[in-house]
Amino acid sequence: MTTREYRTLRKILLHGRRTKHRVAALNDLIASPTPPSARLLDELLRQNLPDELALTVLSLQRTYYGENDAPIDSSTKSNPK
Amino acid sequence: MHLLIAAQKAILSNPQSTPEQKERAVSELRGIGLKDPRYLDAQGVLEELGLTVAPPSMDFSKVETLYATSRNPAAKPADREAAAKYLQENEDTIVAAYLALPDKQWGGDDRFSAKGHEIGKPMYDGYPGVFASCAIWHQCDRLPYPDEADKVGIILAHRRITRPKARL
Repeated sequence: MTTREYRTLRKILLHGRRTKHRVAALNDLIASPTPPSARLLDELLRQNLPDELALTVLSLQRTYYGENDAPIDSSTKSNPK
Repeated sequence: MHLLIAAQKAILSNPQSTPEQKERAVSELRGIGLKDPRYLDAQGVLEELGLTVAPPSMDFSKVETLYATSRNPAAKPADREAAAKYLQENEDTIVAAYLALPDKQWGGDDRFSAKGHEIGKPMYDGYPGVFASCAIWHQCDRLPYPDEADKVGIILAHRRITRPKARL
């Protein structure tokens, strides 16, 4: 994945309006051999992501970087629905 | 849930993943809420690890009928007991069979997803098998909301997903 492609996916993930676009971006990111950066995952976790996306990002963070073992709960998100 | 599984599966199959990352991916998959790695095998998630097992076959209409009977106050006590006994004795197989359903078969039954919306967990849309299997698995009679097994099932499913290390 080129830097430009990565940036595009990052932009969609962070600022995409539609969940299906963000899911598709995350799928593309997952399919890439290059893992998402810890910073990107951290930024994503600060977003008000739909639950499934948030859980997946949290799971990815734990798997790639072995950190943030605390379970996520929708009630603790920064901007709960 | 399939997004999370796909993500971890991608890590498992990525040659650039480190052994530690693969180990954590397996741990994440096992932590989704399944108490036996065979459930993961049933979904083909651990194919890379050579742990494949054929998914169990299951008569889902029979399971759901038994489940309804076990919770029906108007049913004969003997029938309720027999149904509950069957569900308890076969719970592992039932859960595994539900979870082995292809995604496309997991919709069309909104008995649980309606409550899911109410509780604010739309992530479970189209996954009645998870709710049903969790409700069966955890024997909701012993838990709060005894008359709302579906709601309890969702709560349990949610907790199990969001707090994979918790023992409910």
